[in-house]
Amino acid sequence: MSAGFTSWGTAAAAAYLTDNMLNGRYSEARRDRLLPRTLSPAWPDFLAVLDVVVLGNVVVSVQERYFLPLDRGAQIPASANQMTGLTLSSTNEV
Amino acid sequence: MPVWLNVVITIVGTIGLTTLGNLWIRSRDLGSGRRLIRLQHREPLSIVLVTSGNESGGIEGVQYRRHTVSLATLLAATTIAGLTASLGYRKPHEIAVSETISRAPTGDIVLLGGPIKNRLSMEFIERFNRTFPENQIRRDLREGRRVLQVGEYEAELTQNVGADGQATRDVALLVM
Repeated sequence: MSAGFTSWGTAAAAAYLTDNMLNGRYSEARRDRLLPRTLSPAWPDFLAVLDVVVLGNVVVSVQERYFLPLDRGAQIPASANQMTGLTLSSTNEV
Repeated sequence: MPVWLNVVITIVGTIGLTTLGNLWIRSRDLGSGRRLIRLQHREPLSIVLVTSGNESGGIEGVQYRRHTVSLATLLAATTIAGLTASLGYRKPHEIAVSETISRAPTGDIVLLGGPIKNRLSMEFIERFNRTFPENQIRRDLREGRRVLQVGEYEAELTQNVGADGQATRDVALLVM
């Protein structure tokens, strides 16, 4: 997982993963056939762009703006360091 | 059948069914979560935090220099660690700051923070762009606006900054 261009964007992406992806969004994406029923061990399988609103060091809203299923045939080459997992990222690293 | 026995059977049955129902729901949620997260390797889960800055100082003649991370990045790391634990992964976590990593992790990895201050995120995005040339992730500066582009999709980065100079709106990218 890679997340967050600002640090609060990163925190918001982690929260989105636990609060939204695991509680409905993942099932919804499978139901809409955006994602296969079983994700491959190889990754990545999808990418999401999130809009984050922060007020006074508190993330007040996270909304998914763009969801892109990735070609299952492609795979990040794992030979160098076997990066397997997740990437969370946002834009202004502070 | 005596009434007391009926009562006992009802109570035990209710508790049993409730427990079974809860176990079923729990196993279903666990299965779904693990299918999404799908950690694979036996090695510890590496969580690589963006390096926010460097600090040097000294106490009683002893000089030190250390890398620092932001509170929000730490919050993200603890969220991820809590998530993997709640999904029943019994594997330790190796938490590192991107600047201090001398060799790339060999197991499952979580990269926190964008490519400017996390060189592993930079490496990841470069690999991603080579693997998915039609959906490349790019950050551009256009007429003073900072733009995140993913394939044909565009989002403006940090559209708002508050009076204290802190971003109030941001765009985050989740790849998994």
